[in-house]
Amino acid sequence: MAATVVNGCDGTSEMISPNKPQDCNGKQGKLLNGKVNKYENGFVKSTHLSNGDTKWSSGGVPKMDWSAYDTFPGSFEKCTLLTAALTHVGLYILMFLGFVNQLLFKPKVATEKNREGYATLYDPFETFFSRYLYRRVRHCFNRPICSTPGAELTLKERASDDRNWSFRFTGEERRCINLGSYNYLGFAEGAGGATHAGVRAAVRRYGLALCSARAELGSTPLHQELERTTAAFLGVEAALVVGMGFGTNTLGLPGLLGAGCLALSDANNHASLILGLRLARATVRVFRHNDVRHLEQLARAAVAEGKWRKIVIVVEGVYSMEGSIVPLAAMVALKKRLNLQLYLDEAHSVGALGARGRGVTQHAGVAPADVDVLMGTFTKSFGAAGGYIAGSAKLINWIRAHGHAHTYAHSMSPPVAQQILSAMRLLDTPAGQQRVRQLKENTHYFREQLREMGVVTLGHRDSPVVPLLVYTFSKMAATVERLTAHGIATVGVGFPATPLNKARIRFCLSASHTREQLEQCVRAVRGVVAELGLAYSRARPHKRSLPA
Amino acid sequence: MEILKKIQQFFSYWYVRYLLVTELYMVDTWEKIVVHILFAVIFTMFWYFNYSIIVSGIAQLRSSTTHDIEQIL
Ligand SMILES: Cc1ncc(COP(=O)(O)O)c(C=O)c1O
Repeated sequence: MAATVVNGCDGTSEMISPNKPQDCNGKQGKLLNGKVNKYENGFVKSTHLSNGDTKWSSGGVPKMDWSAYDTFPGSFEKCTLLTAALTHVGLYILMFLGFVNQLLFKPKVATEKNREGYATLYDPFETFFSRYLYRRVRHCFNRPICSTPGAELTLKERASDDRNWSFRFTGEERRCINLGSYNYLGFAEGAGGATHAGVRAAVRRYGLALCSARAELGSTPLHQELERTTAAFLGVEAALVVGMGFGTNTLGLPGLLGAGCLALSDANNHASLILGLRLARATVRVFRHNDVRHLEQLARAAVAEGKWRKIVIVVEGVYSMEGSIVPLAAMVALKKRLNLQLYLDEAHSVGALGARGRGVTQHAGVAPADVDVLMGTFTKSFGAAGGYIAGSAKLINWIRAHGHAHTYAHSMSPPVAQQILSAMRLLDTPAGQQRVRQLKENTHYFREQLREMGVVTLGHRDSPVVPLLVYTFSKMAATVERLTAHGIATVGVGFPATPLNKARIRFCLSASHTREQLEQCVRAVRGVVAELGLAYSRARPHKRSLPA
Repeated sequence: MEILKKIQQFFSYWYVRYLLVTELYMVDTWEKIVVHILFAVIFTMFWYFNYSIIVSGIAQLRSSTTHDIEQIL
């Protein structure tokens, strides 16, 4: 808390200031008098003079010197013009064929009839896209599994007799190495796992559900224990746990922000953050992905407008589609300088980053208290479900009362809470620390191997999410098919989760992968890269080899 | 035999690469054929255009310049 209290205007109390406009005007006034006043003067002068920049730095808060910070978010290699052109031509052909298809054969799907004068029910582009592009590769998505998603999983095989309009089960199962689940620390273990005994006891004692919200009859000692442990784990005063990770964002943000608040949101933020900001009725301005200079520009402009009750930067720790890591130290410095607030979603980073698994704060060497709101989920590293919001005690009390999750949503299932507790405690033992190190080792090994193959991977070296760019839908489908045939389950991602021409394969590494398993994966991937021509990278010379 | 197999492998490899680049990999057979035919028509027409107009035009240009040079000499 140290940093925010120094200013005399506690950042968190500002964040949780009641949503009554009069009150907030008062606060905002104080804020302006105390710190930002000079800045305003600088701005007013600079509008009169054309050489605003010099005036700005003499009268206002000086601009950030970004060279002092590590703002490297990870590699983002651009594709060649030829690749881009071919990708677009391919898309054009697909759309054209879809159009011809639609003209010739009427698909047996719901149609709108007798609706003159009404708005259309279906978005024409979306229906077209899902029928004629998405459907053709549908066998690569929503694949049912029938085992724990550990280092290996069992895929239930499907077949389609009508070109992927519908599927039937063949009755066969396929054991695959799991490179798709967010099981970073390998806590999704099922029977015989490290957390098994505790979870079993919790089920015996409390059952599976509490049939009540936390604010009513849904709090057990387990929940309180979990909140205390989470706060201690993250190194902050208090924490609040929610039964669903997505809901933590969508129900927590409306409790924190309201009309008259400004959110500076990263371009690649997760859907739950975007939905939460919309539900909060906050004004949203989007800055380019991980671009602190653009963020500074927007933030300065917003402060100069002087009409926002609060200005909050909303970012994630590790971005799940890019594998990039937020430049947190730089963001915290900017936030302190301009007196903003920071909301950090650590869904993919908590447990997976940092020397002791504390997440991106530890990775970037930032004090956890410098981030106003720490949010995260237990669905990934902890192999459980739900999410948390952590921060100062004041903040958590405010969210308990004003966020909707604590009062209206069902409380976290007790065995789930126990799973998180056991995993979190285990993480601080030597065995747990070994998992964190193993994940890092696996990540570095896999990324290094991919780089040597000459494929384009995105993101930061330490990020356990490794996207491999394949650009076209066909290549994505072909890669997923071939890797499955080699006994490796991965996830292909395309539009709408990524731009239309930037389809990718996403590998997620886990501490539970052994070196032999990863070697097998690397061998399979190398074969597929050679067969399908995925070696797009120009960062390093490599041999293009035909399959033997 | 060995050689035949190699050649066949070579062609099937580049056929798959062609299908992947044009996104034809994931469409139905009749759609593949439609696009193959479209490509064939377009490229034949290009070839014919280049052959009949461009190449003969250049040939004419070249012959006229040689004619000029001959005259100058
Ligand atoms: C950044 C981010 N926030 C929130 C969530 C939602 O969490 P959950 O899947 O636990 O509901 C996700 C899930 O993928 C995520 O990536």
